[in-house]
Amino acid sequence: MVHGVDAVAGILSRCSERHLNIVLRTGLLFLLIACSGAVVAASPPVDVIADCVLCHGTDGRGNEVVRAPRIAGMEAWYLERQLVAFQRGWRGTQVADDPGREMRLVTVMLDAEEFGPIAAWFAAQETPDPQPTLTGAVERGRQHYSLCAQCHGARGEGRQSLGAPALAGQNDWYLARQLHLYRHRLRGQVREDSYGMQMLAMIGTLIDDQAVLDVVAYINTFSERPGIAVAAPHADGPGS
Amino acid sequence: MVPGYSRRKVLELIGAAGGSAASYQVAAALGLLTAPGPMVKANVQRLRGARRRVVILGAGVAGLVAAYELDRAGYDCVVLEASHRPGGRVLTLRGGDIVDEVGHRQVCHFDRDPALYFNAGAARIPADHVALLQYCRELQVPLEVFVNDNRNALVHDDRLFGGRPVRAREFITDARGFVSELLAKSVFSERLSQPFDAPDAERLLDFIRAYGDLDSNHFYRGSSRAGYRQGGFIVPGERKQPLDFTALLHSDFWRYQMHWAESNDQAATMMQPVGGMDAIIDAFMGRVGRLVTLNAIVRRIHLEHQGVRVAYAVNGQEQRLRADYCINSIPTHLTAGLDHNFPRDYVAALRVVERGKLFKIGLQAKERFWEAERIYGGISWTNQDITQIWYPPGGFHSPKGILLGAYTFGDAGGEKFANMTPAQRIDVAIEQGERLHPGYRGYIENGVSVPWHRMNHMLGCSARWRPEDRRLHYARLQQPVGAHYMVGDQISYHPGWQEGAVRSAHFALADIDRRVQADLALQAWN
Repeated sequence: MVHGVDAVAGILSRCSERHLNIVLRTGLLFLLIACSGAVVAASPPVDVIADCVLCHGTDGRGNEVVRAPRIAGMEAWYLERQLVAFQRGWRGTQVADDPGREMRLVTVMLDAEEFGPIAAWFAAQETPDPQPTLTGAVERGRQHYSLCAQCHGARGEGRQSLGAPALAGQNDWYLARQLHLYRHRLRGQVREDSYGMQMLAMIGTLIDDQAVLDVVAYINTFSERPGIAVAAPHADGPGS
Repeated sequence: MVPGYSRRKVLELIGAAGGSAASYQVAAALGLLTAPGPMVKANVQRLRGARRRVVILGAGVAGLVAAYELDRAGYDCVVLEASHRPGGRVLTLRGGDIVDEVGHRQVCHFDRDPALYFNAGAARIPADHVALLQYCRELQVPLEVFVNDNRNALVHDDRLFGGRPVRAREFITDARGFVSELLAKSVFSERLSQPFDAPDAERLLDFIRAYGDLDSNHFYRGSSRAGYRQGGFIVPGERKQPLDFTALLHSDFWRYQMHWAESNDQAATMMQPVGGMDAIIDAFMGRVGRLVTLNAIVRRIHLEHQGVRVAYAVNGQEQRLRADYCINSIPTHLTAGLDHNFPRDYVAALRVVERGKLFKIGLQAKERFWEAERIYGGISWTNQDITQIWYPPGGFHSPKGILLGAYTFGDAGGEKFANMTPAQRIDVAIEQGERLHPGYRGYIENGVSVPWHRMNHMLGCSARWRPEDRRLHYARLQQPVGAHYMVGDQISYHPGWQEGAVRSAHFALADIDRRVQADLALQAWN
């Protein structure tokens, strides 16, 4: 058992420890590169991961109840860019964006040097695809999506060269929420956030809430596996 | 009595078949219990050599009650607590303590003095919360009176009386006087007097006159209950002029806080443990602390055909265990984010419970200036964001004191404060307190703030059930799924109260006891 006093001391000394860790890790990294010629990603501090999964769920699977999306399996470059965006206030500063503001607070207490390892760690996690929670007109959504496909890919697989993340496998409620933020100029309105501005420029085609639902419903079809019914584990409750 | 069976043996058989409640009732009927009293004990039957393992998630009141009861009944218990401290939302802050708020980890800067503490979570115990009080008695947690209602405390509304605070006694006395006068008039009218005969109407008027302190002509002309303007001891007391009735009518206090202490959970006599609410946690930890692992973050709960498998991380290292039963007090909104294999309807129920955003501030005052204003304990109410100020219910006339400087109930208020930095929150609390107590800023030395919906491993206080959700989903969450039981104040009709946590733990324990005893009885027969 870890004593409370130790834990308190641990938290208090965390900031300085982290700086030390970063220095040590950077040194280690150079050593590894020098020895093997390969880049080995440092793993992020366990207490930082604990802060992340508090909201984002085990391994970053997403938890709608606290409005935290799936981050497991997302592209590391995208996750890292969003951590930067939150920390610099490109996201998470709007009064109407409570979940974004909560996220921003966490990034502000982190060192930007940690973003890479955090992003890489979550990118490497595998969690089940989320269940759809929204419904819309898939066919109309498909038509809307033709524009989205130019950057995000025909099956929502994402394209790093264009800075567009994968959409397949993301929580539908989260996609809808972000589209809502873009539509109301609550995301992508900061000049430094060039990819956000790029997205803002494309949002005009989704003219209302129904269009958002439709396109999200179409994105949901990307992660459906035909012929495999989504299992409801222990539908009757084991042993009861 | 069946020949050959002792009373004790019969009770065991009945207990195995019908659970502890049945054996309790029969024992009572047989006169084996000296003082029946109310059924507030868990009564988990001893295992007597059998082995059963229970994993308990969360070392708050519900988890510790479960561990305490199961441990002394011979169960093998493991308690996993995510935080660096036990207690959950029983959080007493003292100088040097960490406030583990996500995004703003604070240190409490109160003087290191045991008398200077702040109950940032649970803070009062009504006399009707008998299950919790039973543990206080059993574990010898010393209690003292908590002052919840004080007629000398203030009522402030910046839209009334030019923002001048008035004493609660003045407000309440005048409000009752005005209402009584109106009621007396209506008693004279045809309609209301009809169901009464003349003597009854007279009795009704007697009540109204006493209730509102009306004069003999049934007019309200002020009352000494409101406190004298001056005099009253060696010269005659001079009554205050009644407040403006329209102003009273337009205040929030009139329709809400004036009736605060009428509710069953807020009425005198209320209590608190001496020295801080966490005396209850300390008492439980004294008994079962050896079973508790701190900093253990649950990752996975998988139901099996029999029993439950749990994975958790301590310092990033995953550990796994299997248990016959799992008692889970992790907030529903965080349980929903774990790796689990719960059935769909159970997940749906977990997801509907909303999380409250209660927010509190504690302030250290270098002088108990409020006692010079004749305020000893109790609550002043204001329509400003801080909503209320609490004065310490004990330690009267000692040098310093800890005030509650804000306690908001609504989401908007909680969000507003949570979105400020800790320093800004204290500043706002002082600025608003100044409206009730001129010179407030000069007395406040430091403060600490606790936004419960931003607290690590919590992200909410307290659980909120919409009536429709409760109707559709409450029973589902209260009942086990396989060998997994959700507990805590969240699974009760008293969210936000320790009594709800205790009762929900007892509910789960009774069911586990019933299942285990039935299981053991079956094994004995085979």
